[in-house]
Amino acid sequence: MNHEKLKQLYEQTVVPKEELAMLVDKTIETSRKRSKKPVRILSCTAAVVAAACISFVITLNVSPAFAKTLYDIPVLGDVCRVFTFREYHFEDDMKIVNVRVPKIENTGNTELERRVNAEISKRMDLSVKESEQRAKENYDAYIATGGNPDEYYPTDINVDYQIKSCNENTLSFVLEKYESQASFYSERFFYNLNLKTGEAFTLKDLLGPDYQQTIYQQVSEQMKQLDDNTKQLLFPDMFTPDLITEDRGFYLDENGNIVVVFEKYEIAAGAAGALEFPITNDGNAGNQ
Amino acid sequence: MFHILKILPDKEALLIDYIKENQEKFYRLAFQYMKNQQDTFDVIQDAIVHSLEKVSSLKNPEYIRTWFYRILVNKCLDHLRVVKRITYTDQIPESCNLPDPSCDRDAVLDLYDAIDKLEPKLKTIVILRFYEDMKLEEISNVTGAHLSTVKARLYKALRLLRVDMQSDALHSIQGSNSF
Repeated sequence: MNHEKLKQLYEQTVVPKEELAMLVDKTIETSRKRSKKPVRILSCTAAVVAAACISFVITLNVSPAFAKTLYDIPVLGDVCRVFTFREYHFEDDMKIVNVRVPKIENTGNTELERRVNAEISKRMDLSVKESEQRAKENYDAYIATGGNPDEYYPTDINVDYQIKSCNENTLSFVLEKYESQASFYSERFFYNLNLKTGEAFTLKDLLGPDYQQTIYQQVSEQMKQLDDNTKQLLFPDMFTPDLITEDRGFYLDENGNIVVVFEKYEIAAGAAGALEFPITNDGNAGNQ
Repeated sequence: MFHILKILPDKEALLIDYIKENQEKFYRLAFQYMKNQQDTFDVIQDAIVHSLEKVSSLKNPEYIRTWFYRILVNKCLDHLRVVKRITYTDQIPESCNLPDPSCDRDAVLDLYDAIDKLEPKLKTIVILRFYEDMKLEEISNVTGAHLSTVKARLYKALRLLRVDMQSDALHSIQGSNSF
């Protein structure tokens, strides 16, 4: 074996130097910013809390009505536990990528945090990769058919999240990825975590074994009450109990309601967008 | 407390310098696993973010290289587990069995390809040993595997690669840096 020759082959690996240097610089820059962020947020929060405390004292003494509403304000431990973990922007001829990946923390259940955070980042990485692949295919097809690269509009790939609700027991949030070019793909992942048990809430947990019927009936009822414009967009006969499975996307809103989501095109024409229906638990099932 | 505050920025600066100086090496190493630019960029980015977050766990700046490589290699292996795009075999194709006048050159190329096809754990050892010229102790630090495990893996890899264990290989087992 000729070690030197072998090593030479290795050294010949083509390195995209400029792009790499850019990536490295950018990553270092954003990481450093981020690592300093918590300090800033902390001091900021402290200032706000201090200011709020002062005004509480004043208002409490002045307004009995305000004193009453204070009871409804959740404890400070409630300050939301989801925050941006990774944020990056990347663009080239084919795509413009914007990613904000959340991380959960401070739930008092580190095992759960680790599991969920790993799952989130894995899922999003994979999903972004798929989008990038699609973006590349689009671009290649465009070039192959004689398109002018200068006129190409790159695919937008965005990942973001929304917190739906957060309290002592539950944390509900949605991860969204959307990608737009000529067509529009979007993907959403719903997370409803029971912070007490460390498990994800399922529709069955929340609504009992008859969740399918419960949801079907309530959604059917609500569909009748939609405004005429939306009603016209509904696909006839598309909405069936079969659509309601354990995997159906839903979230828990601030009031603890279960909101069931149907994605765009699923039960109605694209113009209607995604449809959401709050479901009330009529109290005969489930333990929330 | 003040002590820590004073030391931290230095370590960070050191790490940043180290990353900037060696970024091309990282690329080559990661590329051995990822096989395409995008994935390679992803793991490098992950490794940098992770290392900057955990810079306080770098106890002794002398070990920055093995410390960083450990992060990078782990990111590569993690990523491979997710992507699962590449399949590995224990079987290495018979090398140099085609009638070819430039057999010597081809033998090296074959070997290079064969290393490439090793399963990730064995590959890691071979890359670090032969391409990065690390000592076995350092490899053990990078991979978190016991020294004897590293040796066993290196033997296994060399057996698979059908490298003449009498000469070069034995030499390397003894941890010598010269060939």
